[in-house]
Amino acid sequence: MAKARKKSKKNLLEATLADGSTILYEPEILGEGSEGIVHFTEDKKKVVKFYKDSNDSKDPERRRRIENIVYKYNPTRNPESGDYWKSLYCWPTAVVVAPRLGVLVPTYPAHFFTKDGREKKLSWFISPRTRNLISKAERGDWLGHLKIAIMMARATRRLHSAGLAHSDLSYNNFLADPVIGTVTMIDLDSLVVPDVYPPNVAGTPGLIAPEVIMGKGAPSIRTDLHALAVLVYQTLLFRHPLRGPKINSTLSAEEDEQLSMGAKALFIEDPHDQSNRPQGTFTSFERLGPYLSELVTKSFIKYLHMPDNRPTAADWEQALIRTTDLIHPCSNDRCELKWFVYGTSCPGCGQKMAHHPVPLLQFYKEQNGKPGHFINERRQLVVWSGLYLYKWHVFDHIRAGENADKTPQGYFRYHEGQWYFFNLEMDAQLIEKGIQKTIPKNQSIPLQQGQQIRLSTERRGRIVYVQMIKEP
Amino acid sequence: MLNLDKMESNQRRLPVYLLLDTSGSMHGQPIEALRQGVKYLISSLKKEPQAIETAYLSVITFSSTAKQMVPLTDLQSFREPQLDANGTTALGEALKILERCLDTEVKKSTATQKGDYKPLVFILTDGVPTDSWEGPANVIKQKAGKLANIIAVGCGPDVDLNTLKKITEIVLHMESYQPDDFNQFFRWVSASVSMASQKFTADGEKPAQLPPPPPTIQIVP
Repeated sequence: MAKARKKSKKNLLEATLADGSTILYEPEILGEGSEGIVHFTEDKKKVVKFYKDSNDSKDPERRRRIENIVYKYNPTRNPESGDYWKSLYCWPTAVVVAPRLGVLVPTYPAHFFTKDGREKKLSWFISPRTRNLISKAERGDWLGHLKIAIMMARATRRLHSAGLAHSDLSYNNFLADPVIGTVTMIDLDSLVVPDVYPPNVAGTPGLIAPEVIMGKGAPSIRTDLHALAVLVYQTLLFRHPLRGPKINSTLSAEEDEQLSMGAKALFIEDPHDQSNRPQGTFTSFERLGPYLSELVTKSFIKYLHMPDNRPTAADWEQALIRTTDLIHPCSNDRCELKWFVYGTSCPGCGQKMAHHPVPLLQFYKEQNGKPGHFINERRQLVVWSGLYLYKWHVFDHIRAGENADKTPQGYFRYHEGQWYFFNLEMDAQLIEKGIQKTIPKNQSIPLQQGQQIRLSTERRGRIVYVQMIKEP
Repeated sequence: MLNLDKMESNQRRLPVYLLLDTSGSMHGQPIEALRQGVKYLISSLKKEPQAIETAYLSVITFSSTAKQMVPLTDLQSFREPQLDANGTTALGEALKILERCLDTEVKKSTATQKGDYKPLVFILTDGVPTDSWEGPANVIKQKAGKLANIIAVGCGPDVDLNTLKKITEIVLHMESYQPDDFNQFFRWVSASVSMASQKFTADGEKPAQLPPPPPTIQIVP
């Protein structure tokens, strides 16, 4: 920084970007991490991060690596989808070459700071102890946590589909806003391009894959998937999946930690081996519903020590999105989590399900090549008052994702003891006793046990079968 | 799912000890800078959720006598001690207190108990010890590296760095002790604690990975 030319106005300093242009930044240090020192730019819309070890001896490939990350592999530069990804990543926008090597990174959006100025790292929200230190208005509810998990999986999936590994997915590298239900991935300048640039960090304790701790593998897309599984589990259940009471070494805490997260890693909810099960009562992972239970089982029971079989980020994203079809609001006004996966009672506050029956819609899709033949998809939609239907519900080939059409197609209401289904945009039909009757747009029908509704008569349109459930 | 609050926590603690010289030579600006430094350290660590979960802090001061001003306390409950500068430099006594604390306050790993992470100890002094310190220093040196990560920081022109080398291998020298030097020192302590609470070294024999100290503080080889 000594070489930086001082500007008389406000003592700003000047930095040169890789393309030869210059920017002004504030001399005051805004923050300091293990790798670099951060300053605000003149307009405070970006920050400059200078790397500490300027001689590059530790990482001779750094410049080439960050140039690739900033320019070649940057999804936010995509002319069509770039804007969407800008909200999920704080992607570096330029390489700084003088006074020393660094990157230019967008400033975190305001909603990722608490009112009293703390960065909303995901860590705040996933442990009951630190969550309590966030004001109630900023904590959000369980639906917000589910959305956070979806966004984490989506951001990870997009990286992986480009062949990039994050190498240090952690509670510190996601900023989260559970009120809106979104995240942004930060510290992207240490990304790993497999087989091209070796990783320069092992990861964050608690999230490093067992095989990396054991020295049998380097950070990669596969090890990201272990970190993602831990992050999703912890975001939804507020506890670490492997951190239990089992003691694996009495030599030192460090060795015990290494074994507990590595060679001897054991799921706290393992059904066959209860030796790592924490004392006290807690909500079983099975209460997350069938889609997530399956992935948790694969991640932490079946394949904990088999990295090749870990569920992918796309698997997590789809299972999480489908789980939003199973949630139900808690009828207790004072419940803090407000939402839960449909079941006998709310895990957040213990409140029993409301007495009136809840409609459950079973999904059927038309069999390939057999018009008129519908098969059970083993997918359900739990109805609550105010629930919207989208195209990914109406058609079996449309996936919910960043490109999905988010226009509501219909919705449900509970009114004076009766459930109603309102059609907004669908070409829908009610099938009763073999007779098909159109449900006109902007009109409703009362829901009853045993009804079949064809959500669209167009190709790939689903049929839903209505069940009225008194007790889950 | 907040009934998870009823589940026992298996989170380990990271004990952090600050041994601060409050002898007469620290009177005036230095002691005020020290007060501000401790205040800054607490407020900056409270912004780090990982540090809130793991870091526990204790302050031991030494002047004519030594005293543990704050026992090992979590960040949320930590109250800043009253720091006043006067008297001589009873470093030996402070080291004895440290030894006792490492023995009694730090949880050992046993067959039934999750032990604490290896403690981080920062010793800050500007002078020459005035009590008999060789014995306690010897005891602490045996523990340094294995049982605790001990960092000794000598400040000002009068400090005896050879003394500090007899306590621990990791000795730093802060030439000048203007308020800004203390600010930088405590910023580095804060970064060290957050780093240690996030990135422990797996090998128990090796010292913790710490960020490089600011340019105003030199590593004494």
